[in-house]
Amino acid sequence: MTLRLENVSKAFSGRTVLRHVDIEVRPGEVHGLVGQNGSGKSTLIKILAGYHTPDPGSRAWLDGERFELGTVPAEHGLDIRFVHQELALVLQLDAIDNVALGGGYVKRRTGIIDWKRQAELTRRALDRFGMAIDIDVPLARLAPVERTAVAIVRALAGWAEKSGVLVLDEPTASLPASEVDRLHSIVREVSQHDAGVIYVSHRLDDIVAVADRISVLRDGDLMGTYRANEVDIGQLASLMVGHRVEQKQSGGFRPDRTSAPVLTATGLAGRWLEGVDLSLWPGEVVGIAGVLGSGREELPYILASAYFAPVCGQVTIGGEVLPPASPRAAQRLGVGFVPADRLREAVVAPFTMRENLTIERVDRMATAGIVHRDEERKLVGHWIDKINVVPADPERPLPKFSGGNQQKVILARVLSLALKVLVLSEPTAGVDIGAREAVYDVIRTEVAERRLAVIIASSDIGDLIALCDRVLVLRRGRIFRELAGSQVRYGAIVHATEGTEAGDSATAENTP
Amino acid sequence: MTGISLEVRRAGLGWASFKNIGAIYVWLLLIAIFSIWVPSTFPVYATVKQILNEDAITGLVALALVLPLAAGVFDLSIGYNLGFCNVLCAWLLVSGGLSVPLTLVITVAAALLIGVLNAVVVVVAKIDSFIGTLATGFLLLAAITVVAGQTEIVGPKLSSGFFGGIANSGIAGIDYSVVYMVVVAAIIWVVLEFTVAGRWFYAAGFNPDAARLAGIPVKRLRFIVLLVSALVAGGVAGIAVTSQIASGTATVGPPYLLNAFAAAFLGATQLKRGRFNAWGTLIAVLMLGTGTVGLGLAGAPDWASSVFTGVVLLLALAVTRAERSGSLG
Repeated sequence: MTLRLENVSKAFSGRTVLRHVDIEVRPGEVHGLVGQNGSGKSTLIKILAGYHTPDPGSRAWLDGERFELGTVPAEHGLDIRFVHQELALVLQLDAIDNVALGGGYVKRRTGIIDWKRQAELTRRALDRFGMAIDIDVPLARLAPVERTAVAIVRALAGWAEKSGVLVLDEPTASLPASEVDRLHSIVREVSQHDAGVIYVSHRLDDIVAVADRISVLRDGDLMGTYRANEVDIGQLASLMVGHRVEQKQSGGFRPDRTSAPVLTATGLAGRWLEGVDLSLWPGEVVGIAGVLGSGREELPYILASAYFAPVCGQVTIGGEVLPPASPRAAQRLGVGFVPADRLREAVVAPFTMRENLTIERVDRMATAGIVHRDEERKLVGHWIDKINVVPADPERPLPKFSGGNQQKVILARVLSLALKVLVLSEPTAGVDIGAREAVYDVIRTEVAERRLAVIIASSDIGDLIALCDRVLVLRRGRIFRELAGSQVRYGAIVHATEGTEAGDSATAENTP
Repeated sequence: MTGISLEVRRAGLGWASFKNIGAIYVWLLLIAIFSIWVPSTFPVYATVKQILNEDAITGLVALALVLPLAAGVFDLSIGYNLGFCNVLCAWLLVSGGLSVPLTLVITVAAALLIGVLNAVVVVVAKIDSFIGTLATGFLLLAAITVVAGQTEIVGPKLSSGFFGGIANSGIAGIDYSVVYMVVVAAIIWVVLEFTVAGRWFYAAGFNPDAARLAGIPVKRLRFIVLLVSALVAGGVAGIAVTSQIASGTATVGPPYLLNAFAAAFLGATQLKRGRFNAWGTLIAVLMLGTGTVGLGLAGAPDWASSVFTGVVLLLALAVTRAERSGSLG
């Protein structure tokens, strides 16, 4: 079987995110798909899944037969199957049930489930991947890679082996490094019998290790498809980065390094981190970069004492030890935190903008427990003016505001405290491009006015370029490289996150 | 400036809308219907007294639920707590021969102890509150049977003197228990509307993860609300019901549970939509009570009032849901 995509384009309200992309996935091939955030990678996958309709002129064939993109493949009997990053498994149920939830249960004539055959079926499907998994314990008790195997088995339920395409979207995102090899052997086993696999990943070393050919997307353009044994990671990174106009806008902050650091961390280790030390001085903006699973998602939570799983190491703020897993203690010591998942971890729905803005400070605006309404209103008015929240209606429920305005309110919530350190995780996730600058401006102004020390962990390298004096690049749980001043450049950061040398880019950058 | 003018406009138009105080309109409609249906017995002062006096205990139990529900915790033990405090209070006075003040102190202490038990189960042992308080409810049911047995505890000390007057014969035929209900509602209103704790209760209920990351002591708040619900249901409603019916009976407590939850949920669709609140709960109790009493006076069969309560609850939540999805889309 062959999956052929031709001239696939997509624009969202005038903004082109995919431009005339041609990709061919051959039988028995693992086809890697790489690109930075915003390269059009996930749009392409979503078009294939029927979630988005592509622009007219986009064409697709499976096994020589034309099919319509933008419709759900399974509804037309096409064997294009998907395993998404979150896996969509029911962790409370065992492998037998999870597989059956995808492919249906084997029933006796009476309509009763034939558990024996159902178990056999599951067993056999997993055996194929050499996975000796307990199929009758809840998935929550399995290793992450074993859960991925179950998700793959479920996705493949009932497909015609030779005419299928399996799409894996960031399958290594939640896997520890030690389990990546096991995933790769599963993927190779799937492709063995002429099925095609599309393998999407941020991690270039991961892609190079498993793929036969690799397609690189950048800003909606296909940069080319390369045989995996003919490119190295450095060249791929350069293709992803391209020749970018650097919009370096940071600077102007002059951290005072003669004084003691306001934050020090020693020997931080958790689920992903494996020993990180860092120091932060007042007036300094430090970025944290790294691919998924590098520890970049974990570090800001630990620094803000907002991490509720076991950690090692110590964080001190202004010389005082910060106890772990206590947002309240962090607040008391002057650490403000904006978490990564705004809707789940920050916005209190259906609270109004006012209530959301003052929730961390409201206990400091009260006498005998009674909130001073006037003082609260004044504070909210002050921040609405200062950070320009639109619409300027404090009694409107916060979830009704745009992502950018929600984020401004969450920033104001934290900035209204007496702060020494501000920790931000994914500060512009779900914030549209126009509002992004506004968010940056709020942070710049506060740093300059109050000499705050700021940590910004972001998967969007644009955030780091725009704001940071110094960027720490994490790789496999450790600080792989520290970039400072003029070294804080897009290409340098991408190369460092992938573990390659920026030097490789010199030649490739000139040849698109 | 824009913010303030919008606020004023909303305050000016919004409060009387059907979606804000729908239950009051339904209540008025009910009063009109029953006044026409049974003109001789419904629109008279005796009926007003009957509705208020009969619903005071339900109102107190429903109010006991407001803070836990606001903070995202279920307390399914309140009916049994009320029942236990009823039989305990009667037993202490009649069989134990204790003085009234001592009886009151011990009963209130017992109610609080039940609250501590619930809080330990839910907050410390981290057992889901729905299941945890269901379980403690069963334990209380056992305790009720141990104290009261199969017989009713009755005696002159329950029906006369100071104790007999605790819940009955107030002003103009309205029982004191009605006064307690209004006072408790006012206290809960002040807490939820004007205090830091109130703001935090709601935050902990709406988004516990965000509340915890914002430094709000979610666990402590949940501990407190379970103490409050136990105190109001057992300490206040439990004693009031004992004085009202002048007996300790094993079957008194449990039936209050369903009515109280119905009123609290219906109340959350009123006044401050989507938020459990005191006055909304009170309006719901009285509206449902009016329907029940009215149906009784009109000679409707016994099951009619339950049908009425169920239908009203379903309609209220359906209307709220339809509005919410409409406003988002």
